[in-house]
Amino acid sequence: MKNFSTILLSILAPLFLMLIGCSEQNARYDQAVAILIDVSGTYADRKDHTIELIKRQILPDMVPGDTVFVVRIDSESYDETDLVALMTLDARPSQANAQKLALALQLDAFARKRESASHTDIPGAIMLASEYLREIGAGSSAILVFSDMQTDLPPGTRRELEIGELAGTHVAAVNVKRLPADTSDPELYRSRLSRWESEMKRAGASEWRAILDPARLSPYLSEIRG
Amino acid sequence: MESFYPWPDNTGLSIFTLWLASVVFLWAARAPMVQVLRGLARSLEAGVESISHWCAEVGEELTTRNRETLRAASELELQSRISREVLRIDDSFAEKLGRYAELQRKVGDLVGGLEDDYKQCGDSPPQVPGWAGAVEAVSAIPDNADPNVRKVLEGIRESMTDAEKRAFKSYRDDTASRHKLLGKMGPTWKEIRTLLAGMKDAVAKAVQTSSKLSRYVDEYEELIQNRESDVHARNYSPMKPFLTAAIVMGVALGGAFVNFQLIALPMSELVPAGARLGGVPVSTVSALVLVLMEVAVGIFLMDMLGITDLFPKLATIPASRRRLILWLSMSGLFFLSSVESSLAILREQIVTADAAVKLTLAGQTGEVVGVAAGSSIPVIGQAVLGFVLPWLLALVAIPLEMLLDSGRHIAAKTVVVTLAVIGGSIRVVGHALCSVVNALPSVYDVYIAIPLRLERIWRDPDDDVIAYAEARKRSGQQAAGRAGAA
Repeated sequence: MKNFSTILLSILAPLFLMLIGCSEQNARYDQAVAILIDVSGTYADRKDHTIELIKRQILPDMVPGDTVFVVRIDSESYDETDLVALMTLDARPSQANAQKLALALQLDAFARKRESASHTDIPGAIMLASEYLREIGAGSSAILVFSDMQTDLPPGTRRELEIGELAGTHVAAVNVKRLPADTSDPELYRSRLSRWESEMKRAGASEWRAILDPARLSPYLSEIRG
Repeated sequence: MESFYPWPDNTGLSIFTLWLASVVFLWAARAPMVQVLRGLARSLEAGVESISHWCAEVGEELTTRNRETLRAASELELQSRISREVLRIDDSFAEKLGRYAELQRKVGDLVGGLEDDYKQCGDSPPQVPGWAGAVEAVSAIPDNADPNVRKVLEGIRESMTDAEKRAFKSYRDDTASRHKLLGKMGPTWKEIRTLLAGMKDAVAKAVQTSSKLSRYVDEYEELIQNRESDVHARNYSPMKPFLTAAIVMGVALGGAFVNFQLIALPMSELVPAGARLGGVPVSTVSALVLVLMEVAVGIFLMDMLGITDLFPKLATIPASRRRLILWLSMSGLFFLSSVESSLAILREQIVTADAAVKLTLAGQTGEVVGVAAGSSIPVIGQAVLGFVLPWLLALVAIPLEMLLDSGRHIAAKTVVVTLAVIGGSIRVVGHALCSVVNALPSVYDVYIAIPLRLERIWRDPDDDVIAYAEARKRSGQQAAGRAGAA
C-alpha cells in the first residue's frame, strides 16, 4: 500500500505513452462517399427516387468528419460542372446535422431540375469521383452509382480508367435499372454487370458490389467503414 | 519405409534382416545403452525432485510471508478498532464528565439556595414586651367607681389588646411566609433528586466505558504477548473483505459504465469528433478520462477525509494542507459533477436533434419528435443522474482499498495453492516417467533376449559372480555418493 502511488504511476505512465503511441496521426477513420446519379436516357425519371434514397439511407448515418459529394452522370460527366454538391461534415454533431439539412435542400433542388442527357458517360463520372476521393484521402472511400450501368459515350469521347486509379475504393452499383432488352435476355444484364466488375477490379477497386435493395446501403457503408 | 529395406522386393526377409541387425547391434551396445537409460532415469528423478522442492520451498516462503502480512493486517485491524473505541470512549468521557461538573455546580447552587431558605424559615414567636405583666396587673385592678381610674384602666386594656393583636398578626404573617418558602423547596428537592440521578447515570456510564476500555487494553496486551504466534493471523480472513470489495467494485463498474454512456455522446460536441486515439474516438476517450478523473478525485477526497489510506504520504502533511487538498477535491468533484450534469442535458438535446434531422431527411416534420420529447422528466432524470453519479463514484476508493489490501493475501494464497498443485503434479508425473524410464533397461533386455540367453549359456559362470560383485560394489558407491550429496 505504501508504494501504491508508485505502482499507479508505473501503470498509468506506460498506458498513457501507449495511447499516445497508438494515436496514429496518419490513420483516418472518416468516410468519403461519392454518389453518381444518372440523368440520361431511361434513368432520368428516377432522379427523385434516387434523391429520396440518398436522404433516407445515406445522409442520416454519416458522422462528423465524413464527406459526401454528388456527381451527375450525363453526356460528358468528366466535368467540374457535374459536381452537384460536396460537403464535409463538421466535427460538432450539431453543426453536422445542420449541414445535412442544407445538403438535403440542395439535393431537393437538384431533384426538381428537369434534365435528360442524350448520352451516358459513367466512366467519366467515376474518373471525376476518383480524383476527388484521392484528394479527400478519407479512411474509407466509396463510389455509389445510381444508373442502368449502360455506357453510351458521345462520338469522339475516350474514357479509360487507369490501373490502380480506384485503389482502396469500394464501388457499388445501386438500384440498377434493367433495360427493356435485359428483361428479354437476363444474360445481357448479368454480363453488363460482370464487365463492370472486371473493369473496376482492373482499376484497382477494393470491392465491386451490385446492391439491389437500397435498404442495404446503410449497413454496407457501415461495413466498409471498418 | 521401403527405402530402408535391403531387398525391397522381399519385405519379410528385409524386415527380418533389419530386426536381426538391430538385435545384434543393441546386444553389442547393451552396457553403454543401459548406462545411458539409467542415467536418464536418475537425471529425470533429480530434475523432478528439484522442481517439486523448489515449488514447495517457494510455497512455504510465500506462506510464511503471507502469514506475517496477515498477522500485520490483523494487528492493524485490531489497533484501528481499539483506537476507534478509545476515541469513542474519549468522546463519551468528555461528554459525561463535562455534564458531571455542570450537574455538580447545579446541585451546589440548589443546596445553597435551600440553606438560605431554611435559615429564613426559622420560627421566631413574637416577644411579649417586658411591661406587659405590669400592664396586666394594673388592668386587673378592680373597677371602682372613679370614672377617671376606669377610663385609664380601660385605655390600658385596649392598648394591651391591640398589642396582642398586632403581635398575632405579625406571627401569622411570618408563619405564612415560612410556609411559602417551604412550599417553594419542594420542586427544588425534586430537581436535586433528578440531578443526582443524572450524576449517578453519568458515573455508571463512565464506569461502563472504562470497563470496555480495560477489556480492549487486555485484548491488545494479549495481542502483543501473542505476537509471535499466528493465532490472530488465523483469525483474520481476507476472503470476506475481498468478496465484499469485489462485489461493490463490480457494482461501481456498472455505475461507471452508465456514467460513461451518459457523457460519451455529448463529449463529441466539445472535442473533435473525427480525431481518434488508437482507433478510439477522442470524444470517447475524453468521456472515459472524465469518469476516471472523478474516481481519482474521489480517492483523494476519501484519503483527506481519513476514510482510506491509499496515499500514505498525504497522511504526514500538515493539517492545513490536508484541509486545502480536501477542499480542492470537493470543489473538483463538484465541478466535474456539474459538467457531467450539463453534458447529460446536452445529450438529450443531441438525441432529440438527431431524431428530428432523421425525420426531416425522411420527409417528415419534426413535430413528431417534439411531441415525444415534450416531457422534461428524461432531461431532469439525466441531469440528476449526471450530478449524483460522480459523488457515488468517489466512494469507490473505499472498496478499492479493501480490494487492494485483501487482494494481495488472496493472490499470495492462490500462488501458494498453484505452486502446491504444480509441485504435486510434477512429482506424480515425474514418478510415472521415472518408472517408465527405469523399466526401459528391462524392455531393452527383452528385445535382445535371444543373444543375451546365448551369451549366458556360453559365458563362464564365474564371470557372472565377478560381474555381480562389481555391480553391487558400484551401486553401493553410487548410493553412498548420493547420500553424501543429500
